[in-house]
Amino acid sequence: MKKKLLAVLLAAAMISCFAAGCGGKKEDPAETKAPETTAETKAPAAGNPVEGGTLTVRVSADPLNINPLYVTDLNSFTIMQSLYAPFFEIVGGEVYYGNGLLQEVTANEDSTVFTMKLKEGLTWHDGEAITADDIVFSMETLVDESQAVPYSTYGFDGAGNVAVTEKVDDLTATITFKSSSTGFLGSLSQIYCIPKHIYEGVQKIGESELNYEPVGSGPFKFVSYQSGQEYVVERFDDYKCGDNVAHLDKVVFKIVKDTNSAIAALQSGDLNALTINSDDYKTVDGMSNVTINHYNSGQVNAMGMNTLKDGLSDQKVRQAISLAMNKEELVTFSYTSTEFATPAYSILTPDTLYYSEPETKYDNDQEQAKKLLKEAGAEGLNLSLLYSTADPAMEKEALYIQSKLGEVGITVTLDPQEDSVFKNTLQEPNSTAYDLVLENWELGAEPSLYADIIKTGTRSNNSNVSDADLNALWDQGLKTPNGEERAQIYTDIQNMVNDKMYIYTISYSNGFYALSNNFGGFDDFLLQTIYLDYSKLYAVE
Amino acid sequence: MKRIISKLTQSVVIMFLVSILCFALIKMAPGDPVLTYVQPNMSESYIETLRESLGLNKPLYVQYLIWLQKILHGDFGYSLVNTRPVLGQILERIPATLILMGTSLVLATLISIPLGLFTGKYKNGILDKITSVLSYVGISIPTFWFGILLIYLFGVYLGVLPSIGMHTPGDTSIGDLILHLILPCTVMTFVNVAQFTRYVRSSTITEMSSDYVMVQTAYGMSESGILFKHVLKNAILPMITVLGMSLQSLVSGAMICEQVFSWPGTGQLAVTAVTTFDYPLIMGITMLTALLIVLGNLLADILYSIVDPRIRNAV
Amino acid sequence: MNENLKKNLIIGFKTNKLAIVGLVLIAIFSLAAILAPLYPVDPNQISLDRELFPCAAHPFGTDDMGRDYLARCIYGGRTSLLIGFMAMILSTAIGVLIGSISGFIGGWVDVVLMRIVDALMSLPTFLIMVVMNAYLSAGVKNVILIIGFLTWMSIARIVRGETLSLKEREYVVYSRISGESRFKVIFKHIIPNIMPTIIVSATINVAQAILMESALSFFGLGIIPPTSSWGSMLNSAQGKLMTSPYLAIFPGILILLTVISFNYLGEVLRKVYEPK
Repeated sequence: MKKKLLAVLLAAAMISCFAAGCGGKKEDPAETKAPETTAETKAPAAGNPVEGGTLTVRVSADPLNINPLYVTDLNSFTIMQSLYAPFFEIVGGEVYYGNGLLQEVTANEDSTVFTMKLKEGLTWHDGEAITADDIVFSMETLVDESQAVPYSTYGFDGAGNVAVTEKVDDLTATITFKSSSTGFLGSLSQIYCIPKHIYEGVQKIGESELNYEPVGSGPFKFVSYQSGQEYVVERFDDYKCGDNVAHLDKVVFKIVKDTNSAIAALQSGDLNALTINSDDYKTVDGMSNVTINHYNSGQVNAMGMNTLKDGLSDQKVRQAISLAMNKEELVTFSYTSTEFATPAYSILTPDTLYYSEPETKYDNDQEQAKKLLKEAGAEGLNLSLLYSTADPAMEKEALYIQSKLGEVGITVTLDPQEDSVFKNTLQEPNSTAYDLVLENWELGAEPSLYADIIKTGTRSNNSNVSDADLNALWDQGLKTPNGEERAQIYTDIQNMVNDKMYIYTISYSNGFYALSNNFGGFDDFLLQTIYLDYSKLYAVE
Repeated sequence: MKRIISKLTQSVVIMFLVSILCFALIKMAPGDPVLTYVQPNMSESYIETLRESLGLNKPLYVQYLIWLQKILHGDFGYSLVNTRPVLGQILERIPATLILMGTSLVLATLISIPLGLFTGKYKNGILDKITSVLSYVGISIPTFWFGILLIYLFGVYLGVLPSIGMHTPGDTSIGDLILHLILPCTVMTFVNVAQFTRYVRSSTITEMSSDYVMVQTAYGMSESGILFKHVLKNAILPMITVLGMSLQSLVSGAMICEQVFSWPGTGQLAVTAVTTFDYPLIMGITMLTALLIVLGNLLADILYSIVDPRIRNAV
Repeated sequence: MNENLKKNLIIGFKTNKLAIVGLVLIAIFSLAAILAPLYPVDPNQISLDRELFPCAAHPFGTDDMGRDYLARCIYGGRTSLLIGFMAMILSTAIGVLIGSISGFIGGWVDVVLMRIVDALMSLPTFLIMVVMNAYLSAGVKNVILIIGFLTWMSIARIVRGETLSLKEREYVVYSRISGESRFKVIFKHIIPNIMPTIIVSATINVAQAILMESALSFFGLGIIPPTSSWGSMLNSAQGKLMTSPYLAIFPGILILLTVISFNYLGEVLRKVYEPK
């Protein structure tokens, strides 16, 4: 299962604050890509949409906290999206109001003042009107240190100044920054509005029992939660954020830890929907009652090389490691087929602005690899490879890497870790607990966000790269307005990362959402990567 | 009475040792527990206050005493992962575990006593041989494998039973619960019957060859009379011990079985606690289970001395 | 005495044909594990020939990483049996040592040791095992240590009981009076005499250890890839039940057969050593 890391979410948040001065808003519309979901051509679900029905969705663990300001795990996020409407989403680089609370959000010329206008007639699930007071309350909670909101950095500008939110009228609020914050729209799409009348005066909102029975604004409202069992939501009839109220009567999020049991339950009809990985594709594909929807997960899979470690500090060694492997083969081996994942040569995804594939590939030349290793005096190198056991593709990548590097005389010791240990290890800055590490990231369409994985001092700089030239380029990219010059900067960055081989990029992997044939509407349901609009799913006859 | 009191004191001593072991186990764990609370924007000084408020800067034995005192007051602390009270989380999982493990314990007892009596009486008969092979399979089969095979057979191929969970969404009837219970309960019952039958069988064999039975048979008492009046009474004695040992499973559940069938019991909670390094939760579950193991043994001991006069008189 | 034992053994096996089958199976599996390198296929050689059904080139087929499944079963048996035997040896050694010391010396030593045993037995073993495995790094060595250290208590109890009754025997009492050191008495007189009991529990412990390893594998704990064990193979094969059922069948049957064999063997030995 694709586990969205808090780290990535947070990183994105932090970066969007650094990103003041550039942003998706001014993007050339021609550059933006169409939403990238594609339903599988095979066996489209026939039958007419009907209203009503109960959809049972698998989540792999109990949600930790359903309050949208405190959601840090993918399971909670998945459930939370049925309960809370965002202000708006960013789909394909464009602001999308389709399922949002806002009718419009506008920025002033220098991106210091953002005016948010709510749609009319919106109410919380308990019938109270959603007003600008709720926006003000949510934004103030966000930046309140005592509330310890994990996403609090969203509420500050690049210089660390706190945003000031003010009510203009019942439906309008403004957020004012001291300095220009073009990246703020990206952040705002991640902030959710919570009801003031429920949470006002609560000391620690994150730990409050009020979160057990959330009052939200989304297409579904809370019914019940039984630990270890299920989280049930039902249609909210006064939902006015989207074009329609939800088609389904109920969505049951069933907590099924064991993936194999979940897949069996999908076949038996006890579950209707779950995300699967390429490992299980063949099994699920063989089921006559299920359709697999492919979508662009926006995920880049890669192997970081810890440049603080002996051997790996040498560029030649890093290049040799890349040369020792055959990327096509690696991807085929790890993701079953190149249809499920495509070889990646850049740290940016192909639909990121200014993506450019580096010319030199450093691929599949073991003679050259051995030569480089000899030159570097690094024959008989011993390296450890850290990865998480939660991702079956990682184990395959690891085994392939071990086998191929073995052929050029590098001994690789595998270090598989439980997911929580894995994350903890990576959290430690400048860790020397690993040599090589398998990692992945989902950072969206804005190239500046990718600094997070390979700039000095950033959170996900797992290769511990400290390269002044590279840092300068990232900074340059932030300041430069969109255009040829900015394009060149990011092309240079992609080439530099590739040539110095700080990170060995492996693949862009697809996401797979298996949906039982009794249900439809996937294309509208999945807005982008992990952003979902539950009101769009429907049952079919 | 004296015996019971001495057993009781022993139990208290054991629980004390268990608490030390449990505390040590958690303290041995790698990583700084305070890190779980830390958010990226917290300042160093705030983290230090946090450490202080969690009592993590006190010497180990003080931390232990504080912890022990809280436990004795029923305060097992809060989960590191979702900040909810540990005891509450455990308690809300207990009903599910109680249903699964209770049913399978009762079923296993009901099946294994007659089965053990019969196979012990007709040693090496056909039923005995079949039972013996099956009971070896029962104690030798990896639970998760058996479980997933059952799911595919009954849930997927035959489609007659629900494959996972405790009830169908929206259906809270008992009938639905029973349907969901069948597969996981089969797994647990099979494993338990395999063990229990062996105890009953072997004690039946011992009893059958005892002088008393020999004499009774010689005096012409009917076979069934002997079997049910005398042998039964003595043959189920070891069952008291075995059931005493199984008492803890009513609360601790079965980690693997619950996981395979997505049964929302304590066993799954334990797995979650371990995989997320939720120390307070791990400690809570371990301590409660240990308490029940000790209680179970104590109870079995007491029952045993009530039922079996030989022991009562011996003391 | 020894002649008698032999006779009993032969009778025991003769009356229980399944035990002979078990013994033969254990012998075959052990031999295969020891002679594994003679099978000329590398169990860790990955290839793109994935999930091939059993055929001439791959008698057991290949797994989802294109590795020869027969080779993996053989080497997996090596790991599983190694874990079974080594954990058994460890737990038996600790159990016998603690049990005989506790029983022989008695007094406060006995009280302290037995309360510790009680306390350890009151911990939910498997939970502790999973916790410890998550703490320690994975690997065959640690799996052996963890299983060994958490399963010695029942042996210690049994040995203590036997020692208590043995130490009143004349020859033991005599050698104590004649001034032999306590440890010498334990090793010379006590342990040899409780050997039968030890062997019986040890046999069953092997079976337990193999099952525990597979249970640990279910939670993704235990050995490190690419090393194979039957438990880890069974676990990763679970997801392939529909597409490649043989991946689950082979290791599943192997574990089942091995564990049953050890249990049967233990049972027969028990009958032989403990005449009615």
